[in-house]
Amino acid sequence: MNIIKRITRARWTYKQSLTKKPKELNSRISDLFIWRDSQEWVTFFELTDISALFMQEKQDIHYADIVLFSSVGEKILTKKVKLSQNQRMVINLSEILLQADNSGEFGTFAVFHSYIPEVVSNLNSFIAERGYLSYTYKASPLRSYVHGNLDAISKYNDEYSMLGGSGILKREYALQYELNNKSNYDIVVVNPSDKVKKITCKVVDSDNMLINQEIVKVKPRGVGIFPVSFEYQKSARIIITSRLVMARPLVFRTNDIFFDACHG
Amino acid sequence: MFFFPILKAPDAGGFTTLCNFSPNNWEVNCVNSQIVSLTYASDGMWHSHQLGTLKNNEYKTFDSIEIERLLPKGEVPLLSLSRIPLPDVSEEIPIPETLETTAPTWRSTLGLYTEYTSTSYQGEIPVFPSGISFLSFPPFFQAREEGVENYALLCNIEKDPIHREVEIEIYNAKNKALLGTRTAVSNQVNVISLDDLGLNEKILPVMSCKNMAFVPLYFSRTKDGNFLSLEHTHPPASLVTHGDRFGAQKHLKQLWFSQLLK
Repeated sequence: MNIIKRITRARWTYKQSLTKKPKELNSRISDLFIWRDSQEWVTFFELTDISALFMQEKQDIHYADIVLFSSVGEKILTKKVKLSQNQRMVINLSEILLQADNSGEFGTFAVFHSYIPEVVSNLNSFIAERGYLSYTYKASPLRSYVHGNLDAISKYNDEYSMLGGSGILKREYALQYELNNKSNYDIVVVNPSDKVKKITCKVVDSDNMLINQEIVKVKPRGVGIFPVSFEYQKSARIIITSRLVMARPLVFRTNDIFFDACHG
Repeated sequence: MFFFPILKAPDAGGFTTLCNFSPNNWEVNCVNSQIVSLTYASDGMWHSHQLGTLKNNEYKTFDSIEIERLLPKGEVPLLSLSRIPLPDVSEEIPIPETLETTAPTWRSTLGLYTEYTSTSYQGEIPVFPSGISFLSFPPFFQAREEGVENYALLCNIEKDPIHREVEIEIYNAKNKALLGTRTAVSNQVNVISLDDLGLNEKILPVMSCKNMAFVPLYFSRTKDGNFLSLEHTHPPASLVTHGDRFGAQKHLKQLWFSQLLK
């Protein structure tokens, strides 16, 4: 790579990692997952004892803290869950949210595992919960699964640190996904950084002409939802602009009879 | 180096949407058209055909019904974008000269559909080295009174245009009991039913193969086809972050392969 290309690229990469490394080696790391809880939406999380997967012998009981945040990033509650070694637990987030008042219809949550295997610490690595959540919509008989995608938040003792990287320049995340006019979409973006972020969602048609644009300010640990529907164009795509290194959205697609959820 | 297959599953069609625009505005400069190619293995060789071009900012969906007419029955259609044509015939899988990004990776929409609905994920399938191992802990099995079918779709691409056969072993992670074995082949989307293994929503299955790697997709559908779900598991290295992640993956594979004895 020549010097001009290196300098050009450095504007986007110098001290702008996708995720920061926690200062303390015994920190626990989690994605910031999105919960939805309403008449229509129920959210589930697949909780497994990921620390136990690294160990041969039967272990002492491990726990995980599920920490729920509101849409503006304020902590709602913490639920401590006893883990089942090498078994699945399907956690209904909506049932946990019954313990909170006025939590709203969407927000974020993180899952911090209590135990750190020695082999992981010895590799200078951190246990990271990037696992799998699922949703039902209008009491659908099937859950739609999506995986986590980012190391967003760490916990050390009772302190949380935001790990998502950001920079000076505005970056575009052009979702390589076609939206059609037969469905409605919610494009959902989490702020994993430690500062309020202005996030823009542009909807452009197949000729790259702007159909619509919305701007939302999202607080750390919070979430922005951009509802998208269009009538006159057959298809469209979206471009998310922010100073986050990677504003990868979650896409909810619905109509009267079906739904699907996927990561961007 | 990646391809974008068109997926298949029982009683479902497959579709793949290719995009000729960069997923970000800072890694590559995407201004030109790119060639869309279809590549498949047949008669011990790789064959590639041009399906057209995508202009800058253009995207197009390719359906299994239209594409499967263009290749021998049962072969997996691999789509790609490239700036120069792929060779018509080659002994090793052709390498598309294309634009690549890392944050995020250049992807396509890979999906399945029925008469009533569709499901998709954003993905790509790499060309795997031959002989490496595979370990996945999929927590996606769904059981419902209404009737749900669950499948693993194990996607593999290797450089040689053959169908090398391997054994997939499926265990219960809790007691390490072998639940079943199935065969899979290279250069294929291998469809494995998970409904006759005694799974339920508490059992964490372990899928393993000692000598072939896959991108493991898990597909569930209601029997009437009204609801679908599709997602993949992360590779074991994703259970940790920073430090020596692949050391952690090596440890996990050694530990689990030593415990999972038939």
